[in-house]
Amino acid sequence: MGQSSQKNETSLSNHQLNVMPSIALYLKTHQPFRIKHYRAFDVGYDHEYFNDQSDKNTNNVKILKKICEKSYKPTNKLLLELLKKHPEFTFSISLSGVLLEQLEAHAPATLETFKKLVDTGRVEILGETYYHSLSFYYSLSEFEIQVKLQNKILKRLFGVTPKVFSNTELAYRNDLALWAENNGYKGVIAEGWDPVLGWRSPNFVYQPPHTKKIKLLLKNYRMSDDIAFRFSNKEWSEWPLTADKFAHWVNAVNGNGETVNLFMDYETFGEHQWESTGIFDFLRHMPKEILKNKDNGFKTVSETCKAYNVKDVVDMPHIVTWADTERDLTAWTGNSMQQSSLSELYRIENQILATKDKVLIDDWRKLQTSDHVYYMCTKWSADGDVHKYFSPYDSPYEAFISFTNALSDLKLRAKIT
Amino acid sequence: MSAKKVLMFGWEYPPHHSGGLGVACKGIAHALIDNDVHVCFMLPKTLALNEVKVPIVFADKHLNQAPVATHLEILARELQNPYISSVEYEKRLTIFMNAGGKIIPRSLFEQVDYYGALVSTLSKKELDQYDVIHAHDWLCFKAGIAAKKMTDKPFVAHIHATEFDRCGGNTVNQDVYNREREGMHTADHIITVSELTKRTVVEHYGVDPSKVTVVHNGNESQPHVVSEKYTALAKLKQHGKKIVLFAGRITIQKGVDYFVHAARKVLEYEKGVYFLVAGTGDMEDQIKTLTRDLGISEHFLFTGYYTLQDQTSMYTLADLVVMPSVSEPFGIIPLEAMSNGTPVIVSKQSGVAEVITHALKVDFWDTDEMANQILAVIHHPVLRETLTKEGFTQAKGITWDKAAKKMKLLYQTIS
Repeated sequence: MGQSSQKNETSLSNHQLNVMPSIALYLKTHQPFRIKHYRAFDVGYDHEYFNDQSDKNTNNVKILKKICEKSYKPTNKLLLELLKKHPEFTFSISLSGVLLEQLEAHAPATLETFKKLVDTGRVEILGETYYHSLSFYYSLSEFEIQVKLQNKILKRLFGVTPKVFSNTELAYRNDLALWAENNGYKGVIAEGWDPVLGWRSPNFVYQPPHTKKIKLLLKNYRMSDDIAFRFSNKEWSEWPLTADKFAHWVNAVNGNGETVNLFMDYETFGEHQWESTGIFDFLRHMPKEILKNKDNGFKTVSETCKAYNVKDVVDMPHIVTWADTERDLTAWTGNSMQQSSLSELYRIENQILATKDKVLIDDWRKLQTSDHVYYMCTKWSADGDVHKYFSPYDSPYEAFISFTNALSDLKLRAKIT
Repeated sequence: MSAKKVLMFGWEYPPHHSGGLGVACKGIAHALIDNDVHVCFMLPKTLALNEVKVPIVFADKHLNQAPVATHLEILARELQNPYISSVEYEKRLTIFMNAGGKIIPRSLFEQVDYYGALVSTLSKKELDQYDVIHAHDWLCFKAGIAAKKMTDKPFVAHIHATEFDRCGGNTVNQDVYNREREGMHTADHIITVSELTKRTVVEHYGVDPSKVTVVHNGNESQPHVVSEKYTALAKLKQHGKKIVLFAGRITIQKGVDYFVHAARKVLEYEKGVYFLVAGTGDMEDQIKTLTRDLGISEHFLFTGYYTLQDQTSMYTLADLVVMPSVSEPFGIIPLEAMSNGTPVIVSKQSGVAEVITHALKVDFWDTDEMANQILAVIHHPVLRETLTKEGFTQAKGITWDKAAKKMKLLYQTIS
C-alpha cells in the first residue's frame, strides 16, 4: 500500500484540489438462508429447506447467533461509542432483507443495536435487493420487486429510504447506473478496478455513461482490502496494521484524491478478522487517528456524492464485482452447475409467480440468494480454497446437490415439469 | 548432494500381481529413477518380467529356477495372494490340489521368512553399495530387516496397508500384526500412503509419529479403450440406462455390502440403473445372495476376474464409480477412474479422500447418503460434467513424480 495511491499524482495535476480526502466507510451486512442437507428422498415430502436444527453450519439460527456475538453486537457497540465520541464520524451500511428477517425472528436485541446506530442520523443505509440476489442480470422485473421489498423493510424497521444503490456483491454494469438514476437514486457504488480505471484514481467521484446526475463511487480496493483481507496476515510486509499507520496512508492521498471509499463486509469486524487479531482496537482508534489531521473527515455515501463534482465518465460495459482477482461473476457463474442452477431458477419465474402462493414465492426468492451458487464454486478447490472458508458445505458438489434437490421440490409444489 | 542408491524390496511386480502393491512399486521405482535416484528393485523369486528401466534382482537368483508359468504355478501363486482371507486360502488350496498339485506350497509366512533368509545369503559387499534400504509392506519386512542387520544402513518401511485395513473391523491375524510391528519398530523411518494410515500406525502399532512421513500415492492413467466384450454394457447405455461401477476385491474391507444397500435405495427412486461389480473375492457368493434377498439381482452384473484393459473399458462405460471401502489406506481406483473421465464417490474412510476435492465423499456406513449422491450424479448431467472436468484435471496432477520427490528428500535427511 502507499505507492499505488501516488502513481496518479502527475496525471491529475491539472485538477484543482483544495480538499483533503474524506473517508466513506461502507459496511455491507448480509447472511443468507442456507439450505440444509436436503436429499433426493426429501423431495415431495419436506418443504422446509432452511430449517436445519443440527449442529452443522447450515443451521442458520446457530450461525446468526454466533455472528451476532462475535461481530454485530461488539461492533455496533463500538461504532455507537465512536459516533458519540467523534461528532465528525459518520458512515454507511446496508443490511440485506434476508438478514433483517433473521434478526427480527432470532436476534431482536441485535436488531435494536442497528436501529440505535441509524437513529443517530449519522449512519446512512444503502439500497439493494431484499434477497441479496443477482436478479438484475437475469430478470429486471424480479429485481425491481426485490428492491421494493427491501425498501419496504428498511422503511418499516428504520424509517428511511435509501438514496444510493449497492448491488449484490457490487456486481455493477453501466445499465445498473441508468436504472438507478431512473429510479431516483443519487448515487451507485462499484469496485474501483484498475483495468477499468486505467490511469484514473478511485479517489474521485465519477459519472456513468449516458446518465445525467447520478454519481458513481468506486471502492479503493487496496486500502479496503488492507483492513478486510490483509489485516491479520503476518506474511504481509505492513503487518501489524495500526490505526495511525492507516491514517498516514489516508493523509498520503492528500492532493491526490477527494474521497477514500472503504467498502467491505460488515463481518470483517469480529468474524472474518477475529477479535484476537486486534481488529476492534484498530477500529476504536481509526477515527481519532484520521481526524488528527484537521482537514480529514468522514462522509456518508450520499454526502460524498453531494460534496464532489464528477471528474470523468467511467464506462463499465461488462459486469465488474468485488470478488477474486478477476473481479467478475465467475465465482457465481463459473461452472455448469452454477449456470444451470441460475438459468433453471429464472426459467420458472412466471410459473412460480402464477401460483400466487406467498410461501412458495418467498422460498423461490430465498433460493435466489447469491450465496447458494457461490458455495458451488469450483475455481479454488484445487489449491488455496478461499471459498471454503465461507461455505457451510463439505464441497461445491454437496452444495449443488442440496440446492438442486430443493429446487426440484419447489417445482413439484408449483406443479412445474 | 550426491545421488542416493536405494535397495528396494518388493513382493510382486507387474504384470505378475494380485493387488495394487506391484503397480504402486513400479510407479515408485520409475519415478525415483526419473528423479535421479539409483534404485535396485529386489523380488523374492525369479519371474519373467518386461522391465527395461528399473534394474531388477531376484533374491533366489543363485537357485537358478526356470520361470515356467504352468497352470499349476498360476494356481500356486494365487494361493500366495497376501490379500485373501483364510477362508479364501482354503478354497484356493482345494482348487490347487484338485488340479493335481502334488507339493503343498509353503505358507505365506514361510515365504516371507524365506525371502529374509535369501537376502541373508547375499554377499555383504553386494548390499553395502546401497545407501538406503526401502521395503514395501510386511511381506518384505523380513528381507529389509535382514539387509539392515548386515549393512546397518537406514531402513525405510513403506506401509501401503495394515492388517487392520484388510480385516475391515474383524479380528486381526496376530502373526501378520507381529511382523508388521517388528518391521515398523526396526525401521529408521516409516512412509505411510495417507494420514489415515499414519494414524493407524501410531495408534495400533505404538510408533512415534515423528518417525512417520505421509507420501500419498500417484496415479498412472491408462488410455481409454473399450474392448469388444463390453458391447452388451454399451448397448444398455445406448438405451439410456445408467451404470454404476464397483471395482476391486469383493472382501469385507472394500465395503461391497454397503454398495448393495445403497443400490437398493437408489432403485426405489430410479429403475434405469445397473450396478456393475467387477472383481473376485471371498464375499462374492454372499454379495450375490444379498442382491437376490433384496430382490435387486436383475440390476446387478458380476464380471468376476478382470484385466487392466477390462478395467479401463469399465471406467469408460460407467457413469459413476463408487469406492465404499470400510478402511482404505489409499485407494487408487478413484484416481484411475477420474483420469478416465468418470466421476467418483469415495468413502471418507480412505486415504485418497485426503488428496481429492473434486469427488463426492461419504461415510461408508451412510448408505442413504451414498444413494442420494448416486441419484444426484445420475439425474443431473451438470453435476457429472463438473465432477468429470475438474476431477480429470486434478487426477492428472496427482503423480508418482510428486511422491518420488518427497521420498528423495527423505532419503537425503536419513542417510
